[in-house]
Amino acid sequence: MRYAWVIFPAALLLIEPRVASAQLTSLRVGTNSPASTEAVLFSIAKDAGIL
Amino acid sequence: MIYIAGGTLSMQALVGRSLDFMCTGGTPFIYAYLEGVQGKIIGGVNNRLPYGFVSLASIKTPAQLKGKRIGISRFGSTDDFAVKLALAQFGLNPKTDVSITQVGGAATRLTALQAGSIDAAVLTLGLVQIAQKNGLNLLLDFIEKDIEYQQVAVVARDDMLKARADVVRRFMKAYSEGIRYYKSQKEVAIRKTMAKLLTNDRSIGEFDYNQRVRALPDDAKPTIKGMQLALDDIAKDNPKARNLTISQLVDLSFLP
Repeated sequence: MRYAWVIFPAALLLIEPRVASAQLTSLRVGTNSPASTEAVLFSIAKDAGIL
Repeated sequence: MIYIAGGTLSMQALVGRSLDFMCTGGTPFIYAYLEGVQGKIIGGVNNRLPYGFVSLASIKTPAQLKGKRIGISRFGSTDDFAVKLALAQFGLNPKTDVSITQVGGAATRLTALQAGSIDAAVLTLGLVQIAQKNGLNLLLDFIEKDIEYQQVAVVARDDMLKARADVVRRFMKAYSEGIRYYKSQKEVAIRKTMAKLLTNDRSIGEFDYNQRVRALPDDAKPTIKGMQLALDDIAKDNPKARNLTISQLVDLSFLP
């Protein structure tokens, strides 16, 4: 049981490939103003882990 | 996020694949579409005109704008459209009564106003506050007029929508969640707004947020009415626009 914390996540990645491939996608988003609504929104959403 | 001044240039960056998505105005997008850009508006960011028409302190009435220089970012941009809208409200002709010159983005236009190299300009709301604090005159507040207009939309190329539809859907889902977060976490948003505007003045950040939050749609949808307004305006001078329909320009299928 002492190695369960290693074995369980490894087994999960083998059983459920989507977990293994849950990759971060980097997207380039343009804005016309550095202080725009979208600049603020995406910035705080990123800080909060939404994006 | 990548900052590109003016809608026309930013559409070029999107077409040139320097960007995956572009948050830009309905007007520059329609012009780009007419020039052959294959893309769609897939979400709305700012469905009102969050602008103020600002002039030098010496210009106190719209009539005093006659013969004066008005700064815009680029011809065909959203602020160019907003200037024409304001001049129509003032009863002035953009071709004969004033001189419209390409100056640069909103911050550059404010600097140009303060230096006296232009007499008036349309500025975003946070900058309107700064302009007023520096003695410039607000001649027209577009938010008060509550005109529906696609000031900023999320735009993507058709090839991106086809080849990476799943990524686009996930992005729009995250964007929708971002809207809910922005609207519910007012303090966080105001602090970030102040940082972006490079100001310690909370009243500027709060004013900017309060105006923007009204123009940001809860459901992330663009404004069809606002798109039609822009399309009708373009169609006055561009016959090709008369055959365009909103369904050719907007795709709502990526929204959650």
